[in-house]
Amino acid sequence: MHRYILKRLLSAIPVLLLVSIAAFVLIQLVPGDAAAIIAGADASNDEVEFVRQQLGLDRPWPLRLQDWLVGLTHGDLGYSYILNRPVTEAIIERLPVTLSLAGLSIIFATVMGVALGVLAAVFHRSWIDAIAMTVALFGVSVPNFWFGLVAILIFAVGLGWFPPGGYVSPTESFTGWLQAMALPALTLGTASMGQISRFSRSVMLEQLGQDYVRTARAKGLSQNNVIGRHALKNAMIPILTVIGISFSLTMAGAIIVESVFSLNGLGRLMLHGIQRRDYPVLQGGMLFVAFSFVLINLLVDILYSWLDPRVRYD
Amino acid sequence: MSQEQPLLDVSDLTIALKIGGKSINIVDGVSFRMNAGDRLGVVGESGSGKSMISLALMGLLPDVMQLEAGSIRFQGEALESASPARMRQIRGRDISMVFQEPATALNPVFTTGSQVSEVLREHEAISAREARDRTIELFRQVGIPAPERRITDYPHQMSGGMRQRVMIAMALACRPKLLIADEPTTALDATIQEQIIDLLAELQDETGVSVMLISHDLPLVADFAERIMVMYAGRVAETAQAETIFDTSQHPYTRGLIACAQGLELGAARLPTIEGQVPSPVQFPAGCRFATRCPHAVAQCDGVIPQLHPIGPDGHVAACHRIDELKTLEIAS
Amino acid sequence: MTETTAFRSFSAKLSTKLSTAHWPLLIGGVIFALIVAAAILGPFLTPYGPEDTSLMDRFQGPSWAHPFGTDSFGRDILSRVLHGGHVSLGIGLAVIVISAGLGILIGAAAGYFPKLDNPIMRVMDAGEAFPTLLMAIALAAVLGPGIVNVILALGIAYAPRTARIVRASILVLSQQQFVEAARASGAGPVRIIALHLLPNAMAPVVVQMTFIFADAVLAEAALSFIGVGPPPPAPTWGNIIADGRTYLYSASWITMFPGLAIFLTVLSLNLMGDGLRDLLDPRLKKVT
Repeated sequence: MHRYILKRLLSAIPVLLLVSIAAFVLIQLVPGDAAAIIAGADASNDEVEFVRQQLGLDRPWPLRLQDWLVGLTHGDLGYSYILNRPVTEAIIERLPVTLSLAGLSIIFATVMGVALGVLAAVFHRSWIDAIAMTVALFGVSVPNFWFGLVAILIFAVGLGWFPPGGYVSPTESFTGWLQAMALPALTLGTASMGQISRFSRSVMLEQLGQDYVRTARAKGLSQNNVIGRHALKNAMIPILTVIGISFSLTMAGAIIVESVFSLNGLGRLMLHGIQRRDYPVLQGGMLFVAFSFVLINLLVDILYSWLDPRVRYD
Repeated sequence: MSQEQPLLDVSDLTIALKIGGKSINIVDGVSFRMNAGDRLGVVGESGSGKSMISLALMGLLPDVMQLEAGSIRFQGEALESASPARMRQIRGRDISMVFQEPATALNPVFTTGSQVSEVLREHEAISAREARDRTIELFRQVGIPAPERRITDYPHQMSGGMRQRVMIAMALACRPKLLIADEPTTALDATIQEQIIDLLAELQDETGVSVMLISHDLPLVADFAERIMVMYAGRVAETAQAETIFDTSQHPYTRGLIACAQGLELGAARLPTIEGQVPSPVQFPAGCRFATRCPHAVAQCDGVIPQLHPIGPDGHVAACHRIDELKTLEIAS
Repeated sequence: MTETTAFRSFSAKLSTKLSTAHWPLLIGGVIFALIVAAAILGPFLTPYGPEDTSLMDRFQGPSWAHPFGTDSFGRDILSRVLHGGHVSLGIGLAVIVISAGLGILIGAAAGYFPKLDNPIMRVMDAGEAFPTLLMAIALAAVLGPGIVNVILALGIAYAPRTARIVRASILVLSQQQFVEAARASGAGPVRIIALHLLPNAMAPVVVQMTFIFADAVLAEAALSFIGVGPPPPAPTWGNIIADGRTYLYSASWITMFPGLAIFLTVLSLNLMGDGLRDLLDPRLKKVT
């Protein structure tokens, strides 16, 4: 299995390289004078020239590409003149917020999603199935920002159970953190939960019809064992793929949800970057997202091989 | 050989397929008995209902099928009305089953050893270590070389024949009274088929378990079984000792099966066949279901269902209107 | 098989299976039809324009005069929602046309020409894996806001999904005998693909289009909400909600109604998609 992990790690490197180059190229495509834009709308001509020098924007592009790539290996994602700090620093500062949000929402989506899907499959065509799938359908159809606003209206303002926004660090107050993250995580995770539960249902149904399930029953194993161990373990393999895909939804949704709940995370950073045309932030941020994406896919692949012995021994 | 109480007493078993509001009998009034240590062969083409009988015994009939009538008495206990919890106790421990397709019958994500240990730990209160040791011993018993290494293998790392040995080990783990083998060799290569049947015979000798071997392959079953029950279209055509079936049976269907098998064996220039096809359950005729394909059919055969009646010693029964006639005429097919 | 028989077999499959058992499709279809009708006809029926301000009537709750209430400028929310529907649905339609067009071209090429398959699909994989919304945001950031840019961004982002499905169908279909026959009679690849293969491959594409429409409506709403969509004052469901956000507690109707509109539209589209998928072929579940 270790060989498999190594292989996957190695194959991730060219992808990371490609993504880095793509990020570089993307910014070159922006119309207008890059130095002027980066310096900001109210920069003087001198300041613009300063920026041009500093960023080496007057140098030929192969050298600039090299600078960029070399900078990356040191963790240097560029400098934002609008924020007046290195992009890397800005990102790291906001990372805990986004990680909390994304992490909790994925846990919610996975646990609820698989549970609903399995229930729907086991109680195929009963009212349990109907309710579970209706919930899933609603989850997939509701716009997350609207859901968040409605949730704030009802649970934060109306009932006062949760704060209407803002982040509380878990080191400050663990319960405060959970309370602050509850509504945002729920909002962000709903769409993924819907997707995962729909898929889990069809996968479980397929597995329950397989021969090995009949064998397990023929051995006199309990229903819990047959469904929860035998069938579920096989079902989790394709479900894992969908969980991996739902990371996409989660990352995209995070931008929206952070905005709705006034959470100072990576998403909000990107949003402000768009609104203020802060290209270094956008470039660095996009790259960071792409990197984490590649890494998450890698993780999913490794988990895959852990679950499915047939992949391991290839 | 006869005892106080047969191990298995199936009487008038009728299984119906419920579909679209209709009810069609797939298995119709089947009766047979097995004693401890018996080797019974159940032979029939696909669609004869032979597999459904085994599933009914195990309480594993699919949802669309229902046991309409009849009784299944196992060691005196009525299985057709047993609770699901009771059936779970019986399955794997008192009655166990080996299925046709070993490639898909084993769970691909668990080791073969763990799947065998699992049935041990389900029915007996033993430790993981003890289960493992017994699993190794079982692997050895079914002829898997280097069992200590093999128990950590996954199904995809084993050959078809070896997988089937694992299935047999799994079925015999808790020392059941009855082992049902449903087409255990059909999915395997010809040479392996013989090995598996030999293994079953050997194990049956060693452990004294009763074995019900189900197959469409009459010669294969004849090699193994003491008694053979021939089924056609959901009903029993004939039941007799194995030699009787081969040597002296006059039932038109049985003779047809034997002729086909022998033709294959002797490499005849033109293989004998039984004309026509097994009728689908929806189209079962009112009378004898074999009538349309039978070379000896007469008017009575179309209208009246032939009942199983004794036609010879040692519990030889057959269902055919003309069987006594045919015996005396000794017509060769 | 000739072109006509290919078409015929497809429509035959469709008509024999239609029955009242397929309620998701019916319910979804009815709701969606109502919404489309409202979006098209509505603007002509309401007495107010979507941008008519009235300082007297600011922040009115739902009433007979203003069934959806008014916003901070005294604009009638119902009119705005109906107009917004116009825009949002129009964008959705444009997006599926573009992604279908691109997807079919790319997918057919990948499916029919084995040499092109691998490189094309690798690019598609990369495109599909990256979050659609983020790609759209990135493109919008680079190209600037505006309806056309949103449509382009989303259309390109969803193309890989369609391409994958078209490719899968083409791969299977091109093995069939009637393709050999057509090739033998001298038909060129374009003719074969267009007349013989694509008609039979359409079923899963139609299903996927329904789902993409739903996703596009959601995506456009999200983009509008964060300010990267079609610029104001033109109303879209997303930016009405964005406007209403400041008055979430005091004038919640501004947020509620456009949100419900989005929800019902996407819900009905998803229902239709599910229904179509079940109707056309249960086997499709593996492809879609």
